[in-house]
Amino acid sequence: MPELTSHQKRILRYTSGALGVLGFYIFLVYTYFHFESFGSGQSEIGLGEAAWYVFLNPTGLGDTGTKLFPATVPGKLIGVVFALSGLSLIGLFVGKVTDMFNEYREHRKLGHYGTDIENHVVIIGWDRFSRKVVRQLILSGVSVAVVTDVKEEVDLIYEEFSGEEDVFVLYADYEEYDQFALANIDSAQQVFLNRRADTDTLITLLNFHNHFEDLDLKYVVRVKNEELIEAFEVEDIRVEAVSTFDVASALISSHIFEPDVATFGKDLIASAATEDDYEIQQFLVTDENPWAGSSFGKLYWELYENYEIIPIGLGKREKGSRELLELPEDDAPVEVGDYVIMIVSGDSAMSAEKTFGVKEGGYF
Amino acid sequence: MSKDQIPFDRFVVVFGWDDFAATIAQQLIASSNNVVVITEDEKHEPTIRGEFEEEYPESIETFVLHRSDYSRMEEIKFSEAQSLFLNLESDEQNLIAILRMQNRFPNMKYMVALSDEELEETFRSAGVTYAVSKFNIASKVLASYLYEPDVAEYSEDLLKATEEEDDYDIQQYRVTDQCPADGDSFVDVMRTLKSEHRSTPIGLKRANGDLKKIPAPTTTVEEDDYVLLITRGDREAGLEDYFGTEEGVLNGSD
Repeated sequence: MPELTSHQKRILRYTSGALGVLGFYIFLVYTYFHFESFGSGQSEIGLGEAAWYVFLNPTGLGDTGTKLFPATVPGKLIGVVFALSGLSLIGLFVGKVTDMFNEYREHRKLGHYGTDIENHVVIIGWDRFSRKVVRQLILSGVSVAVVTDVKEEVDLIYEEFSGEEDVFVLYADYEEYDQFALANIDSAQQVFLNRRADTDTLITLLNFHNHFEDLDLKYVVRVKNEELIEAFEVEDIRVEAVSTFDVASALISSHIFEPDVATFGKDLIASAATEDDYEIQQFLVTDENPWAGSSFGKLYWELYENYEIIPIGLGKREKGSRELLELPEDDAPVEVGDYVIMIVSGDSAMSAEKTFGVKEGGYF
Repeated sequence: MSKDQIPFDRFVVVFGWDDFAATIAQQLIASSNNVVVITEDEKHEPTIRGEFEEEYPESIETFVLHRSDYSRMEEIKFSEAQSLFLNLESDEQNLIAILRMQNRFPNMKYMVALSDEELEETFRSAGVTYAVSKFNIASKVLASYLYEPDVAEYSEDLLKATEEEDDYDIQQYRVTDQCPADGDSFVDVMRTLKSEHRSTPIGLKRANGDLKKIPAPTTTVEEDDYVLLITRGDREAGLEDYFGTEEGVLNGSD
């Protein structure tokens, strides 16, 4: 027989207790009925009236009828037991219900009831950086399951993202792989690893790959020491390692000698929040796309002259691998399943969505 | 031994040394800029020399001096720097140093990388020309890797200076009086750059400071405008010939 979980054991304990109390009360009702019916001369008292007295006496209601009071000594003793135990029972009942409610809320907050979100990103590790990544993902309409092994951080995450339906939080040990089923890792698109130390991140990456090999997950890892980036290029693992300050340093140095490039570059990285903002987006080429089967040059000029959109690359996909063609030749073929990478404004992005018939994005 | 004076006419100062400063210096040198590294800790000097001075002896110089040693700064021609990237231990130290230096060097362009992005506005008010959060940008790129990986890879590649011939980069070139683009429409310049230099123009910076991102096809390109374009490392020489100048505003200005 399989061992019961702590939750199942608790349900069993509460059920046994409730049945015990119910049995005890039935016994008292029957005893009361026995003495008051046959011993006190109030022969008209029935079992139903006895039960009415037993259960409502503690509230005071049971005493309202003229005849619903015990007349025999055993009946009076049982009445005392009813009154005392009834009050205690109500207190116990209210306390238990409150406890169960709090416990339910606590477990729910810690993510122990799981989530059914799909095509989401699982984030392992919480800090300011993860917070920013989650904010970006939500802006882009991507659901997120955050897993942390620090209980106090759960409250911080909920405080930060209160009211966000797309954020699920799980408090779990990173080595307890079964618990990741609660974050619906089977249906996740990607896993972002952000442990405190790069070595921990690397170990988690390797462990996850071993444990979830069948899921063929894609990983993105944050590397604090850029010299360790190469260590994350592990064969057979689909992983992108991103250095924390590589891009920031590029922007700073760029601003020093080509300030307009830095301004434009910073704008391109951020999501276009207004119609005048610009960003780089990627759109899937479906079989209904007007440029499917034509050339990059044709797509380029038509998009620029009609919509002021500048295509700058093609993302090719073959057998699960990804190839990026930057500034492709004009005769490069545009095929179904490719992604066209282009610079759009907030305004022209809507035209692109309409023309391509898909929303922006690579995986979602 | 460091020299008595900064030996460059055009240079950028990186004040404060750590891994982040090393990355900045690397990027600047890769884009043909001269870099002066100032550190308060003598122990950094051999590291800097070991890392850069052997490979780029002509492009980097190191000085050891304290942030409030203004007389020594005057001696080494510190005030002639085109920009100062301040990289002290904390945002607070950077802010205090900038406020003090501004009294001595009011015309300097100050830049910082913030640990706390919420201080961006404070630094701007203090006169910093460019303040960028280390986390903010990296988190955006990383988030981008999670849902649009091609865009993230492209953005990261574009922002870094080209080190290899097949690296792609956004660059800006001034339209000189020798450049055939002067007076042409943006779409015509685009056709020329695409067909002859395999580069894609994406913006135009007017001489009056107005930056047009993805200009309309009929926009006229004029002398002293800067054309912003995406190109590859091995195409830079051809572009320099076409525009009649080097890339950027430091090397590319008169």
